[in-house]
Amino acid sequence: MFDQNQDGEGSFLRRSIITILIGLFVLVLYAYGTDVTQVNLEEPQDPNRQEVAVRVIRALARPDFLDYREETRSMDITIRMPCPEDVKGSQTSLEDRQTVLIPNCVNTTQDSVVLQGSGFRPRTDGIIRWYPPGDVETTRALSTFRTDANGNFEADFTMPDIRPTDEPQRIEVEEKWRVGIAGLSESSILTIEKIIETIFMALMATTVGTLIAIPVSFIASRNLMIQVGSPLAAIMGGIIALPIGYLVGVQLTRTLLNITAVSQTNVPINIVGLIVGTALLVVAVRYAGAMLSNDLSGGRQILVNSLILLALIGLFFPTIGYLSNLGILIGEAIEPILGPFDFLGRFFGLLFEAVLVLSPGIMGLLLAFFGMSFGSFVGQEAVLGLDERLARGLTAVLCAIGAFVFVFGIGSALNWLYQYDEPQFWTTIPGAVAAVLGLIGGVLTHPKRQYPIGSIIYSTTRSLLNIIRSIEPLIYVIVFAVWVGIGPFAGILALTIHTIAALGKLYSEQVENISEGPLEAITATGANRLQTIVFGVIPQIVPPYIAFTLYRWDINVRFSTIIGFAGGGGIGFVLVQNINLLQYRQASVMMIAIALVVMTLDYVSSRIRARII
Amino acid sequence: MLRVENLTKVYDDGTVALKNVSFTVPDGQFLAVVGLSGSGKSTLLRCINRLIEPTSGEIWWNDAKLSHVTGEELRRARRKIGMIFQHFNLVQRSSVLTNVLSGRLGYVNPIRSVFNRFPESDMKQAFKNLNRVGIGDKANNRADELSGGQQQRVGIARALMQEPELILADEPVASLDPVLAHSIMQYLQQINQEDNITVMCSLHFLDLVQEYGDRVIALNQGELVFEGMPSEIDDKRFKDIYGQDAVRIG
Repeated sequence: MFDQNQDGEGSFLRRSIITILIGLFVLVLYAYGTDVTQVNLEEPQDPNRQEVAVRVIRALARPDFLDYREETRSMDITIRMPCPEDVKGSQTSLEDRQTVLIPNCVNTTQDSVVLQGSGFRPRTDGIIRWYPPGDVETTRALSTFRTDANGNFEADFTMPDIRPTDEPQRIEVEEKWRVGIAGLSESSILTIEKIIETIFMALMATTVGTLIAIPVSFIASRNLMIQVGSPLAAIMGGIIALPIGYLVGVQLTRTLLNITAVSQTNVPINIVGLIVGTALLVVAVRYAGAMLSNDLSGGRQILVNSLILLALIGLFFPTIGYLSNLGILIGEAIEPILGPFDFLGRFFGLLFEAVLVLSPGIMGLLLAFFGMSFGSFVGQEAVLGLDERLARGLTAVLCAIGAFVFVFGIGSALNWLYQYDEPQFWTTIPGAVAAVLGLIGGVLTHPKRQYPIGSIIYSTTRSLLNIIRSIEPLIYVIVFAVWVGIGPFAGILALTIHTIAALGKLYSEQVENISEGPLEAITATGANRLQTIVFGVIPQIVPPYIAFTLYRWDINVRFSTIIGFAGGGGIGFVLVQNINLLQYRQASVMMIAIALVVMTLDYVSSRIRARII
Repeated sequence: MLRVENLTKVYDDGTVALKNVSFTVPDGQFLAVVGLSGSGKSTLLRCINRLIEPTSGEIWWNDAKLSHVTGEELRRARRKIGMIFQHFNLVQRSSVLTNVLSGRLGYVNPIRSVFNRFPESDMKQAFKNLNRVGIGDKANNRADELSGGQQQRVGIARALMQEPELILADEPVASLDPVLAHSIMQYLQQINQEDNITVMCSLHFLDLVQEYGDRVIALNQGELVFEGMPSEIDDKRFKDIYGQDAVRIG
């Protein structure tokens, strides 16, 4: 009993101390936080700052949506400083307007002058300006006035601080009034133009990003990748064949496109080439279709498929080359004819130019992928088919070459990036070391042992996506603005990069959520991986993919409204200019436009998503 | 003939799902597999077509060592083994026809199939099999528009597309009501008898076992505890299979 009591007291004491310590810690935490974030109570209370802030808020509250067309009418009157010997009355009249200066001259800038007018437009605002003698362009506003119901007004002013002169000085009285009904202001028109640019930036980035994110999401999803295991020989076969595939793809495509490059501007050759190429392609596709319907055994089928593919590529790219040449020429030709739709002509040309520029790269990636699949297939089948000693030998050789290729590739990349001037220390020598290590590893390992290559690829892809995603588009756009220049294109590229990473992750989580049953069933029919994905995975992920794409478009519109702050074009670009020029009424229009567009898209995309899911 | 020798499966978490299971199934037999939930029935069936990798032991289908084939060979072995699942495992958003045609994936050229181009003969076969299970008119419906019984018939048609020599049925009627259960079992029986396809079917209800099974094996905690004719399961054997507390109903 006594012990328990003491124990209770002790723990109470301990708990109190801990509570106090935690309290102190929190206190220190927030004290430091307040300090580093420079929380300040004096500045906001400063009357000068308050006045500025109020001015800004009032300007923001009066967005410059509408403008009236204005008409002005002016008349002149002269004044002298200092007063000459013979003072004459200074009064003028123009049509039925009269103005009188009282007094009609001044000696110093302290003397006040009253200007009376009559016969002006009733209830109209006006301004009084002073023009210096001579042909000087500058003017100075002296006063403003508003006429009464009879068109009379009285305004007093003093002369500006200038040197006295004998010449008469001109005073201009200007009335200004609105005519007609209100129309869109200049800033409204600019806002509409830029908002459209912004929405299309988001559209382009989302489209391109989605197309790339879809294949990425498959290799970034755990359930598809985790079971993929391959013998070492298959992995190495893939590593060896990947760069070969890429180089072959790029080189082949360039060579094929070069056939057509010589006749770039020759219309008849392009037309003939296009027609002949298309005809041959149609025949080839027919023939290929017949070939593909034969059921061949695995290895031969892959060989036949590859040959067919190669033949089709051989015909496809020259045809595409002729087509693109023609397309560019047509685009150039129709651009001046189309008038307000000339952007269609430019787009037409640009599209085909893009085909020519991007084809080698895309083909390279595609063939790299095919090469990798083929290499690993050959490696796997060879190892599984051979007896153990031969398989071990093959694995060892493949490991040696694969390790060399891998290290050589990484070394070359580092050498290029950091410009070490001794390539052999970064490529050949480490490559050779890796080859020896690979050889030893290949001999030691059991050739049929499965290595979890799938989960390695999965975790690498996921980490890369996470890194790319954690950098904001506002930072990417700075890099791209350097590369492609300030403007919407840089914004599109920045948004695209971020979209790929973000959607890649979201999509792959959807792939991870699909029901496994159909996959199991389709695997059980003897389908290969590609078939399992096409028949078992894709039908299940279409709705969530569409939903996430819409969601991302929504996000991209939001991003693209501010990406202009960093040089990415769109509405943000003009908004930040207006803010810097202190044109808050104009800035207010743009802010409201952004809010409206984001709200609308939010609503529309949530409605569509609700319908799809 | 299917021959299973000393089959053992230990999962990564240490669960022993199958312990030294050995049995043979002659060609054309309808073999029922019974046992409590978790007794290893599903694991046994999935080891045969290698949806689950056995830990040790051998599985032979005629001359093919199913337990050890890999890569291309495994694909070729799988396409001769149809499988029917408790939850049907159809692709819900695809059409019935596509689901049935996916049974041909092991045969057709991968490139063609990826573009959903199946040979004319496969299309004909698909309709024939759909008519055979009585849902020829549903070919263009989406799979999720069908009732449970109809979905299982699609599953049977899909398995038939493989021109299988062996059908593995993993509790094919456990998600269906008793009337539908009999209708599905009758299709399986018909396939077994008319096409001479060996069927290995795990079941919960003993009345179904007795009505449709030629022979029965029973698993209890991964061990083979009974092998014989359905009529041989008396009250004592029943308690061996299902545990001493079990009460026989129906």
